[in-house]
Amino acid sequence: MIRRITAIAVALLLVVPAFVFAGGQAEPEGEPVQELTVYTTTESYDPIRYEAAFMIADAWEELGFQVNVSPMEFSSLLQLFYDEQNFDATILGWSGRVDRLDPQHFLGTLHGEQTDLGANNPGGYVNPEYDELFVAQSREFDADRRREIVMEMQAIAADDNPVDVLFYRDEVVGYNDTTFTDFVVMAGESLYNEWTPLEVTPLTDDRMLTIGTPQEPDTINPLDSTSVWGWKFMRMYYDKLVRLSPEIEPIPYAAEEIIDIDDTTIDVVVRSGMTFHDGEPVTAEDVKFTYEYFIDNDFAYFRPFLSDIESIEVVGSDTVRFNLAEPVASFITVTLSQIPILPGHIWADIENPADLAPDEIPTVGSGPFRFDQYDRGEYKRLLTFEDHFDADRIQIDGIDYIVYADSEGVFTGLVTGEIDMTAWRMEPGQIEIAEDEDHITVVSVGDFGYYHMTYNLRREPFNDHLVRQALSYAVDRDTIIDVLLQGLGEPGYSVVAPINAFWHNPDITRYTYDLDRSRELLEEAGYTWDSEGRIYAPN
Amino acid sequence: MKRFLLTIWKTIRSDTPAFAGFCAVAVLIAVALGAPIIATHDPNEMNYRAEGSALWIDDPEAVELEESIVPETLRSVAWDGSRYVAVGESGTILGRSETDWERIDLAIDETLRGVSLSAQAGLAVGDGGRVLLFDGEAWIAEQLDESITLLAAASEDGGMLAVGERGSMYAGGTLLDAVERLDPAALGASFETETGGRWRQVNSGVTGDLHGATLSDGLGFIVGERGTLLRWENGRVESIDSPIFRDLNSVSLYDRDNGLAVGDRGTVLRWNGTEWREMQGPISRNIRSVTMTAPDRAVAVGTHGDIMILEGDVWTRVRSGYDRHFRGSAGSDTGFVVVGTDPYINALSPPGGEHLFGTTHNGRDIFSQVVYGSRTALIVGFIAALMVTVIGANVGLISGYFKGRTDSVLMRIVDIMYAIPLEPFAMVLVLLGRPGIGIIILAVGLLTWRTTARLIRSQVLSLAGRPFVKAARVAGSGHLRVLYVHIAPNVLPLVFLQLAVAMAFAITAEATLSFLGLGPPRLYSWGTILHQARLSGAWRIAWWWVIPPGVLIMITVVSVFFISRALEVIANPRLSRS
Amino acid sequence: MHHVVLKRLGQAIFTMWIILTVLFFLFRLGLPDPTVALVSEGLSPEDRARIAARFGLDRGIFTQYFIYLRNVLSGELGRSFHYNAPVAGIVGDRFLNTMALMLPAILISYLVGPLLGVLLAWKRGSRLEVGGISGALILRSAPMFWTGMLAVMVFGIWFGWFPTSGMRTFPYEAAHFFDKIFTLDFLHHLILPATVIGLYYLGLPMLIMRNTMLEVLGENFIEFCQARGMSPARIMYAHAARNALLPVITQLAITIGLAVGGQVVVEVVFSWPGLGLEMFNAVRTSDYPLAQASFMLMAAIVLMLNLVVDLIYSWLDPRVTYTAAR
Repeated sequence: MIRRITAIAVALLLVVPAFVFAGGQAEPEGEPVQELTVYTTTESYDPIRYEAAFMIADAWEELGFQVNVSPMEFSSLLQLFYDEQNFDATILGWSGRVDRLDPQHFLGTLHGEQTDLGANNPGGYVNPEYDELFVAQSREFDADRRREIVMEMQAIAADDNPVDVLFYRDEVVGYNDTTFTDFVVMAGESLYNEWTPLEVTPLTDDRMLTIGTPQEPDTINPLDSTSVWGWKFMRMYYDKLVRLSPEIEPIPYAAEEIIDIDDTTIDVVVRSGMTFHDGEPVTAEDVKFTYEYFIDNDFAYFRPFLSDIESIEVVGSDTVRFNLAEPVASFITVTLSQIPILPGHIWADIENPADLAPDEIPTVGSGPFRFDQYDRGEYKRLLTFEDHFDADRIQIDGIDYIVYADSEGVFTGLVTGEIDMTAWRMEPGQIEIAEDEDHITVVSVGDFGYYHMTYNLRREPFNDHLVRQALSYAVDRDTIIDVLLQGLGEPGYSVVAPINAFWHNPDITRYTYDLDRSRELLEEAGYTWDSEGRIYAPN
Repeated sequence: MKRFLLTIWKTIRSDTPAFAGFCAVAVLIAVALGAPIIATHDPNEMNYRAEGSALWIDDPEAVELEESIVPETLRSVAWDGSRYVAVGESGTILGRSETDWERIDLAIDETLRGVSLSAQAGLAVGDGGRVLLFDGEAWIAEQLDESITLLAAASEDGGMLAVGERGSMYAGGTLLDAVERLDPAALGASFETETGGRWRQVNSGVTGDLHGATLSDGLGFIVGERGTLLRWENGRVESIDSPIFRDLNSVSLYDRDNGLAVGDRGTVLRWNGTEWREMQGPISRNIRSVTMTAPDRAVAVGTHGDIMILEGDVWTRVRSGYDRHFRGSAGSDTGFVVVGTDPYINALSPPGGEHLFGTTHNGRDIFSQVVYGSRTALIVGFIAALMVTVIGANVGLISGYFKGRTDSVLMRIVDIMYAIPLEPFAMVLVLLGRPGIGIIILAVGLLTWRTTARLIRSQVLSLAGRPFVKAARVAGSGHLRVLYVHIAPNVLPLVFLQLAVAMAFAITAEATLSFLGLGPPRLYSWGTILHQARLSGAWRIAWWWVIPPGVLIMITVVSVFFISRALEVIANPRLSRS
Repeated sequence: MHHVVLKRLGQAIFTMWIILTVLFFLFRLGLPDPTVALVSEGLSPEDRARIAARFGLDRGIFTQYFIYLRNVLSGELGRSFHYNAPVAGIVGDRFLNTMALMLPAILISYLVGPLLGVLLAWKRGSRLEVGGISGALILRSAPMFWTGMLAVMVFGIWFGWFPTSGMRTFPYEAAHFFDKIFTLDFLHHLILPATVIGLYYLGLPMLIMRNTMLEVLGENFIEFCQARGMSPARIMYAHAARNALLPVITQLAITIGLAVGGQVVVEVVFSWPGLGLEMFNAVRTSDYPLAQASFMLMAAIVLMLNLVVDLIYSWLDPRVTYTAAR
């Protein structure tokens, strides 16, 4: 009898609190939030984004969401993201190419007109106020006034939070400090910039700078290349009117002087006395020819840079005048610094440059180095062009490029002394090993490209900005950087990176890891939780 | 069937290598089944370490680590000319005058985040508005606003300053007079603590967190979030235009004309008596603490073992050789001491101790990964081998029995299968679906039944002409019956042999595909472990990461080979050794 | 006989067509749009469409298929999307690179393997045999990417005896392919990967040889030789082995066929610019022309070798090998 009473008592003790508990916390009505899928890259494509996705998913689960992480092959991921827009949330990145230092491109990824399938704003963020400011800044020629608009846009984007900028990953590279010195470090490009070959000083008899790369140019056709690997190689043997200095200021290079007559008329005085590598002089006609040739052939990659040029004329003996249809804020920094000057006497005869076979592509430029050899997949060589106006400062005989199968191969090349510098960042696990090598100096430079979590604003629950904010507060950026990037990165809050100091707005909302804040925001948005902690959407 | 299995068992039992292989496979199956029990860690867990350590830098060439003084992490350290005091997590407070750290027990458990010592006074501050005062002999615990986390402290000549979250700032001791002389309307709340101490809240004019404070010759600076720089003098707080926008974490004044402030992303600012100027340092990670011990001498510390020393105008990086996250710094005339450490990843730890096979670059336990890897290997190996054998045996049977056009078509399909390489084929499947265990099974299963089919076919070809087959046909048995009832049992030994061979191949193929990164996410396989080792770049030094998974693949495959060799004797008695 | 050969040849061509067709549709329908990567280069949808049109990707899939078949028949393999260059040159280069690695490795193992196999059969029942068989099986069970990693780690990095990646040291001068491979420097690069591959392949011919030798040794003419008082070594290597060699040669043909596709993992570990890795990456980046051409090359060679093997089989009593390469 006593035993039975005890049993009942125990049962009551177990059951009653459960009821009380359940009664105290009203079970939410409606359906729990459906499982969210976070798409990310495969581990082999990028271990950082892969690991980050799981870390973020764990935190979201702590908020009561059900989260499934789906790593995908890169091309499948891009297709799903851009072409199908069939995702809840996706982690991807934008690389920091120099032409993206101008905020135009990154701000454009949140523009309401870019939400179509295949366009740059797959999350579907539309904010008329933002869009208006976007148009205003792209037409604003005065840098300070433009800056104010750009700052305001960043503040708006940070609060609406359609894209959670996760972090900026440092470009960590290394060079052999026993063979060369005086390397130039540049934001976004690190050591592999156009100034390093002009500045380095050899420390030994070997006067060829050897660079290891994990990839090679897609093509060395200057009109047709769409990759940085093509561009960064070709810009050494082609000259450009403007080059961006290591401090990322535009400086006239093949141009003697740039005069803005008014907002839509820009005169470029071509430097005198330059020759192409075949001995022919570089003239204003060549410059005019080049720009018109690029416009006429209409290759996709250059179209955005050139679309606002209405006409080009040669004024006087050495001046080229660009007449623009509308003011373009980025004309000098981007358009003039992107297009290589081609020798008119060679290219004029080529009717359809897209059809050139690899060995038919002309390699004559007027740059500080001249083309010498290219074995696809293995090796490239450039030699110093002694007649270049800048040749006096060049201390080396030329540049050797060795192509490796992957970044692991490049790293081994650096460790064994086969190469003098790396053109591509090291993996986090390699950094410490490199730091322990006596002959290697490790250089870490901030990047202005960024990794982002893009929410699909067309779907629940991402259509609510409070939920997006809550989810962003649940991202532990400091741990991601500390653990996955070995501390070499910076937490992200804006599409314009802090290293892009002139345009970056440092005073916008920061989503520093705070799960309590996340819960508050979700509550504010009307979300509730059941007794097991699962989250329910508001009715 | 029972007799057949018994024969197999007897054959294996009598063949030493085969028996050893059998035992190895049995052990592996046991490991796979018991993986959650056998594994010492969650294979996906990144393992951290956290303890209170100190690093002594008397000579920058030879730093000396005093490891795990206490289990709690240490946040801050100070030197008053004769002794060091370090504070940390869970109310830890340590004093050291001679050679040993001694714990000072104050029965508090809030985390202490800042400590400052001066000739007349010392104080430590921490979570929940906790303030500890040192009167020269003993520490007294006091409490200010409970809802505020205090992050840093400064003291001089009996004057005390405590700063913390959301711009909170408190003055105490001899600084109170100066504060109270100001416009009474501007005065903040006053606190009388239980032990009789008096503090007053000071309006800092900012809302961001304040991370560091310093006082010297009546001049003070407070630094904080987004480059916040506040100047303190005579009870007045004034905001200074900051040359940077990144967080500042620590500030140290030597005298009125020399000071340093450090912050995120390697930020260093130098005070020359009139203004703060940005300075170039060799560190690009976040810097947590700075201590200036002379106008031309200072130490700054940060995460991942970053330490740098200022001599004159030049910062030099000190290679600590430790991947610890340091928090606090202090310096005497002879050298510096640095304390920490925040939880840090127990990366690339060699085998032994807590991690039997060591850890990966993300601090994951390799032993547990290898244990879980046996599951993937066996599951994939078995299912794929079954698929291969079922498809291959049937194709072989049908092809060999019906001959003619059927045979011709089936054998052309086999030819096609030989012409398709495994890795690119698996890649196609991954692009059609998602990376995962199913893809690997499918890739192996769909592609590699070719050899089995060929072998079974040739045996069926030689059986089909035998009298017993003809007899069965004459007796009126249908084709299927003849094929599966009369012929199939005769090829069974060969089928079993092929199952074993296919399994060995499938395990290798799984490892190969996983090594190329096509393996299932978050489920470990031996190939995946090697893939990660290579991807991280650490494989060239971390031999403990490379050897175990490979050895296990080898043991598993060779065991299956040994077993299959024993089966071969049954399948093809001509090979018998007798 | 001619009739049989012609018939088999016809079948091989038909099989080839099936392979091409299946691959064509599998790639076009299964793989992601190859121009999608251009979005991250900042290209607008219109610009992408123009690029797709340049590669003929804007036409209907059957139109594309017939154009493809016509081109293949006329020897035109197309232009790689990734390299923006004719596919034939790329595939040819990579194929030669792969063969420069695989052929020496395979030939050496098929030279040494059978000799060891004879020894095992000769010393039947001894410890040597048990040890030899176990050794062969162990070699075959250690995955090549792992032994490769160990080899690079120990001999390339710790001792620094051998280069760890690639086929040669730069810069170099070479007029054509054979100039590139007949150098000491190439040999220096070849040793590690070829050894790793060679050791892996060694076990199979060794075991096949031993097995067939045991069968041959049971036959009458051996007893006849013994009766004539020949030395055991002479019997083994001169008479028995010659008769047991055919299955090994058959297996050699199969192995070479599979080797055309290269060993992707070995190419990864040693950064060897071979066809296997190229094929793998071509699929990964949806580079249809490159992927199709490399699959086609591999298929053609395998089918041809199969044909040869089948013809050999039709002449001979089929002997069955069990642990054949898959």
